[in-house]
Amino acid sequence: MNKIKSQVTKISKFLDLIGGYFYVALMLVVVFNVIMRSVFSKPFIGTVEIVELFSAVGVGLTISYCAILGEHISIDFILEKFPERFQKLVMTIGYLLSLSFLGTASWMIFQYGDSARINGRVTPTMGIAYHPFVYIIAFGFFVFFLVSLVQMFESYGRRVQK
Amino acid sequence: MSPFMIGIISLVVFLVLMLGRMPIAISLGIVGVCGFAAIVNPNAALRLVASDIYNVFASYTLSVVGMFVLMGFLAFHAGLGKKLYGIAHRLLAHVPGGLAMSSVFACTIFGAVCGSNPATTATIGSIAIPEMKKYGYDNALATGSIAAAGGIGAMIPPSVIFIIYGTATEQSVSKLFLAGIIPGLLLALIYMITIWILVKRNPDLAPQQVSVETELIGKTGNVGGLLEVALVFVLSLGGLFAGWFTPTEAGAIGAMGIFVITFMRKQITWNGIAMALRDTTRTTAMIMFLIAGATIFSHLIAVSRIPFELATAVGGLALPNFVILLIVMVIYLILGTFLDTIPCILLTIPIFYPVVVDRLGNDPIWFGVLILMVSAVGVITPPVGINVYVVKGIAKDIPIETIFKGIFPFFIAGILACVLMIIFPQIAVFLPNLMMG
Repeated sequence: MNKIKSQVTKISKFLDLIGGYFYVALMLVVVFNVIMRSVFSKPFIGTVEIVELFSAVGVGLTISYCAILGEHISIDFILEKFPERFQKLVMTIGYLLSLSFLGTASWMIFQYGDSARINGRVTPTMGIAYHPFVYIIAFGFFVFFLVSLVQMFESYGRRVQK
Repeated sequence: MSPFMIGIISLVVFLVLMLGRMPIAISLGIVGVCGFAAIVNPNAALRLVASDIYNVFASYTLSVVGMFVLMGFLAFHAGLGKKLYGIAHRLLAHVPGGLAMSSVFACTIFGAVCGSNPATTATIGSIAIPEMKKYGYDNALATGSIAAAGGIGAMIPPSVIFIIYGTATEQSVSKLFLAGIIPGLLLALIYMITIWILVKRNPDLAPQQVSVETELIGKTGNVGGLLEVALVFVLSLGGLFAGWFTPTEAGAIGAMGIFVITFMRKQITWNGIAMALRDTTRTTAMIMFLIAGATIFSHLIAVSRIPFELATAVGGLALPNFVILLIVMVIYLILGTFLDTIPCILLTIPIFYPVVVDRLGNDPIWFGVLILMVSAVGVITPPVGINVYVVKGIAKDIPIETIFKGIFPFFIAGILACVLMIIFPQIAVFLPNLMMG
């Protein structure tokens, strides 16, 4: 389990790093457009499309590492007041439901990308194909699914050891 | 079963899942999909998952969130909070309770730049609390003032929460930013007056005054670079208010400007930049996933007709607008006791907005500012009161009960500010009406 956890963490961290670069690129593209528009009266056509695609990929790639760091907001002070067996049961149900949602989301987003590829959907100004970006988001959710799976087993193992 | 009943059951299931430690974004998503499937059909619900998530992540309007978050974390890792506290200290330290007032002032300004309640509270608190302890300030006053003031910055532009509210309700983000300025400053002023009254009534709370105004400056380093940062801030937000930039452009210019200034002045290291970027990715991912979950959930709320039924029921009540607003405010305060501001707003907007704005005819900009002000009070309301726990993390030797005792006068002052906002909506709408018509 430790080996799998370490691999999933490594992948998430790598995706987070790449996602961070997309944010920087997004900032640079926007500032470049403002300078071109204000100083040279020649706006960079297609900025909105690039911002949308970079934003989508930036968030999609970083969502799993956010889960590893426990940053997705949840409320735990109420469950903590219950006996450990009850906590374990509720958390297992919670993890299973989360896994079903993340798995479904990943699959449905992949299907959404497939549909964009088959229909040849591209951005209106620059003609960039949507589907690679949608696939990246689907992959981000798949890694998020793996992170939750590892966290579920880890939490179960830790409690059993106690 | 009627759509309304399915909607109510879904709300109950959501609460159960949320209280069972499931991430709120996932709870909203699951309940939204299942409820929508029950009312409309399963295929449409599944398609909703993909389209809502993609459309939120790829939203140009919401891309501003990442830019302002990046701007805030660059300022945070460049140590600008310390410098701001130095300035506040120079201005206010010599008056009774001045160190606590300096903390409120610094929290307000730094919170505006930083945009994060916990980061503001932690930054200013870690400098100000030891200083107040050194001068014999009462622990409850020292910690309570920091915890309360940490929430003010969210009202002063640029505010991520205003961006979220503006996107969810299709209101102008520029107008919301303008509308938050006076109420935010008013809340800061009311907190400062609260400190002054507390110290006047009981001078033992702040027994020693700082006579050497510049004493702290040596510790905080010089305040160089703040003027340039202030200029970037004015350019970014001024351009937004003047209509030169979109909110995303204002955010990107702000982030780029702060990066260039702090990097050239060697105020931020490569490590600091990496940390700022990492903080940005995780905060933005958390917010965007939450918005995606809330978007799926809002589709369920719309098809369940809960807002329509609620608006009809409220319309049938013979209660004045003021009383209904007070009830809504109390509901927000109760929700704020266990729910963070962003999920609280995302969850409640689809339900309350049609009632308060569409049915009762209140100003949507003013309502946004009001609920943000209530949420600023909510961050110090027990049992969650996130800022209280942030302060506890800094001041480990001070019992949590002392901090909760310390926030009580500020809680009352905050409620007073909210009531003033209800009685005088002009506090919020004056500036946007004056500048944007």
